Amino acid sequence: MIFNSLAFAAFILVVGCVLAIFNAKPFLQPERAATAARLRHGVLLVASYVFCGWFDWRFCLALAATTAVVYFCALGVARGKRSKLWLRLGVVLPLVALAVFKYFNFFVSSVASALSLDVEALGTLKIILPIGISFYVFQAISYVVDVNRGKVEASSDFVKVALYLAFFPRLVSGPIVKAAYFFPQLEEKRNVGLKNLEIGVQIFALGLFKKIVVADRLGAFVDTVYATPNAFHGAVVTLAVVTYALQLYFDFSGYSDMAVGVAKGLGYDLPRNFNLPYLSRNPSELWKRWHISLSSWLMEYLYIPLGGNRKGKLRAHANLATTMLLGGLWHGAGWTYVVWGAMHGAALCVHKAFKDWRGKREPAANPSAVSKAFGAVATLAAIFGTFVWMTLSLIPFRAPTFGDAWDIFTRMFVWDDGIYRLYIWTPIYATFLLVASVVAYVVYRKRCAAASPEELEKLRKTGVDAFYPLLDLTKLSHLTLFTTFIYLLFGFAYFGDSAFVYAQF
Amino acid sequence: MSAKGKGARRVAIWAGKFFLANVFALVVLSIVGSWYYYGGQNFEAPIANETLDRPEPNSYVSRCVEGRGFARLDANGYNNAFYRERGWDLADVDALLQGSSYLESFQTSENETFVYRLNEAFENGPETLKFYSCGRSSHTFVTSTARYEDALKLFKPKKYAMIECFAVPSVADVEKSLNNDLKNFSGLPTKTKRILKWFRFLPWLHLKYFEGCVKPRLTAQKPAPQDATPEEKKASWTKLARKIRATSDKYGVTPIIFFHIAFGLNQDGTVFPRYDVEELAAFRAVCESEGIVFVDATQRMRREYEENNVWGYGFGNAELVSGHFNPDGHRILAEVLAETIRELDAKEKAKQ
Repeated sequence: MIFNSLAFAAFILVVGCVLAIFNAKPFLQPERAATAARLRHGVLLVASYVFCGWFDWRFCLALAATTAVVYFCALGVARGKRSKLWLRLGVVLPLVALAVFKYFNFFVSSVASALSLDVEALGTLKIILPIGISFYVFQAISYVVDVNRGKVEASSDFVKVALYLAFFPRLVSGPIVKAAYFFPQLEEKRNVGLKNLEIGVQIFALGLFKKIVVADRLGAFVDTVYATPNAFHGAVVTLAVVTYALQLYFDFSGYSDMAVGVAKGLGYDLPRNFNLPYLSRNPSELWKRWHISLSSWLMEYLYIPLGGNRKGKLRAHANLATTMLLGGLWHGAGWTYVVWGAMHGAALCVHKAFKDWRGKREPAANPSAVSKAFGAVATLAAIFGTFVWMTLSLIPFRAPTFGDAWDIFTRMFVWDDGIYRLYIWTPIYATFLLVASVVAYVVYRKRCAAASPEELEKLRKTGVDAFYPLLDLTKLSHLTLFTTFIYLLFGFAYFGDSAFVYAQF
Repeated sequence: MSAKGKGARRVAIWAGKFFLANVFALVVLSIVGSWYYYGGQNFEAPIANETLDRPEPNSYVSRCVEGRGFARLDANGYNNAFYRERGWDLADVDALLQGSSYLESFQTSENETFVYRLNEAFENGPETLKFYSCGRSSHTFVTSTARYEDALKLFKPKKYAMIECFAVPSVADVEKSLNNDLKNFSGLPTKTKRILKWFRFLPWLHLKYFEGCVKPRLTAQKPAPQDATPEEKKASWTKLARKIRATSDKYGVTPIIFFHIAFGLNQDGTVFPRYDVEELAAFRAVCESEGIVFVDATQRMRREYEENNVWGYGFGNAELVSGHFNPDGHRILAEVLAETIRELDAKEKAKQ
C-alpha cells in the first residue's frame, strides 16, 4: 500500500474517521483525557500494523520483535543495573536483524565471488527484506542510545514505543525520527482536526505532485536509458544521468512531503527531510540539506561516537570516510552503494581539508561591486560544481552493476553516436525546480530583511530555507488555486511504474 | 444566531466557495485540455461498417500526451490532410489504407504522417496516386480484415488496398475476422457530444482513468498461450488470405499487407525482434502464396537504426523508444511503401 494508491486513500479515510470519533464531547472531558489518548494511540498502532502487514503480514513480526527488544533494552538501560549490557543488546540486536535480512546474502555472494566459490554451496537465505527495516532499526538504536545519554526517558508504555517505531506515515522510507522529538507529541492532545487537515492535505498534494507528475515521468526516461545505454547518443545518456538526480530528489522529497502531510493530517509533526539540496555550495552543505534525518543520524550516532573531529585531523577524515561508507552501505546491499558512499566520503574529506587550509574568513564589511559580483559568480560555480558531483556520484547509485555504471560513464564522455532523442520533461521540471528555488531565495531575503540581529544570524546559518507554499483554504481565491492544482495534478499524472526509489532501502 | 447556526452558515459558505472553485478549475482544465488532449473520441458510428467507429467529421484533434499531434479531420472523420490541402474529392481514391492508431497518426502533425508523405511522393510522379486513410485507433489487423469488404465498397479504391498489421493473427483472431464477430459503436447521443465539446477536460480525464485503472488491468491479463499447431495456423491464415484475395479481385484492387512493430533494444545497443520470426515468415509465405503483397517494414526500421541511429518509434515527451511512429517512423514507412508500389507499377508496366 503506497501513498499514491487508491488502497491508501481508502485506508487513510477509515483511519481519519475512526480518530475523528475522539473529537466527540465525551472524550474531551478532562477526566477521560488519559483514556482517550490511550485509545487514540491504540488506533494509530493498529493502523500502522495493518499498513505494514498490507505489504506482507510477516513484516509485522520483524517490526514487533524489534519493538520488544528496544522496549526492554531501554528499560534495562534506564534502570542503571548492567546498563552497558542492555545498551549493547539494544544496539546490536536490531543491527543483527538488519544484517540478516539485508546484508547476509550480499556478504555470502561477495565472499563466494572473492574466493571463486559457488554461492549456493555457501548457502544463502531465501528471505525478503521487511518494509522500512533500515529506517525503524535506526530509530530503535537512537532510542536506546538516547536513553543511555539521558536525552530521553525510557517509556514504560509499550504502545508508545511500538507507535514510535511503527507510525505508518514514516514507516516505509522515514524520515528517521528521534524519540525526543516524537514522545512529547504523544503526551499532547493531538488528533485529526480541520486546521491540521487543511495543512496536511496541501503538503500531501505537493508531495503527490512531485511523485506522480514529476518523478515518475522522469523515471520512465531514466529507466529506458539505463537499461540500454549503448543504444543512445552520449548527449541523451548525459541527460538521463542529470534526470536521475532530479528524479531521485523529486521522488524522495515527494515521499517525505507525503509522509509529513499524512502525519500532519493526523495531528503529528514529522521533521523536514530536504532543504533545497541542489542549492548547496559544497558537499558538507549538501549533506545538511539532503536526507537530513539520515545525515543527522549518521552524524550523531556514528561519526561522533567514532571520535568525530576530537581526535586529530587524520582521524576526523577517517571517521568521515567510514561514516559515509557505512551510509552508502545502508542504502543497499551492493558494492555500487559502497562506492557511492566512498565518493561522498572522499568529497567531504577534500572539502574539510580545503576548509582547514583556507581557515575562517570574515566577510568584508563594505564589499565593492566587483567583489560582490565575483562572490555571486563563485557561489553559482560552487552550486553548479556540487550538483555535478552529486549527479556523477549517482551513476553507481542507480546502475545495477559496476559494468553498467562504467557503460554509462564512458558513454557520457566518449560521445558516441546513437539514438538522439531529448526528453523534454527534464528541462521543464529542471526549470520548475529552479523557479521554486528562486522563489524560496526571494522569500528568504525578505525574511532576512525583516529579521532581528539574532534571527538574522540564525537564518544565515540555515541558508536558503525551503518552505511549504500553504494556502488559506477558507478564501475563495486560494481554494480556486488549490482545486485547479489538484485537477491539473491528475491531468498531468504519469501512470506507470510508481514504486518509491527509497522504499527498496 | 446560535453557535450551531453560525457553524452551519460557515459550512454552507465554504461549500459555496468550494463549488465555485471547482467550476473555475474545470474551466481552466478545459482550456488546457483543448490543446493538451482533445478530439478523436468515439463520437460517431461508421458510415458503412468500414470501421467500428470514427471521430466527428470536420473536427480537430490536438494532443501532446505522446509527441505533438494536430489534425483537422475530413468530412468522413479520418485524418487525410493532403486531400484537404489539394481540394481532392474524397470519393477519388487510388489506394485505401486500413489500420490502427499508427495509421490514424494523432501523434504527429497532420502533414508528417506516412499517408501524407505517400501522397506527396506520388503527386508529381509519372502516375499520380491518391492515398486515403481510414485508420482508426484500436483497429487491429482482425478489425481491418473483418471490415475489408465494407471499406472497399465505400471508398472504391482503384488500384491498391493496404492493410496494416503489427501482430501475426492467432487462429482465434482469424475466426473473429472471418465471422465478422465485432460490434459497431452506435455513436454518442447528441447531448453527450455537446457536453464533450463544452467540457474538454472530460476526454482527458477519461484518458487518465484508462491509464490509471483500465490499462494496468489489461496488462495484467496475460494472453492465453496459443495451443494451435503450425499446420492449424497455416490452414487458418490460408482461409483468411483467400478471403482477402477474393474480395480484392471482386473490387479490382491489389491487396498489400504491411507489417511493422518496434524492435526491442539489448543492453549493448543491438536489437532483438519482439515477435516470433518463424511465425511471421510462415504467415508471410501464406499471404504471398495467395497473391497478397506482403511488406515487412521491420527490417528497414532496423537498418535505419543500425546505419543512421534513427529509431522510428517513441517520442521525447513519452515512451522514448516504444509507442507510436514518430516523424522518422512515418518517413521510413512511407519510403518502404512507396518503393513497394513503384516496384508493383514497374512489374505491371513490364507485363503490358
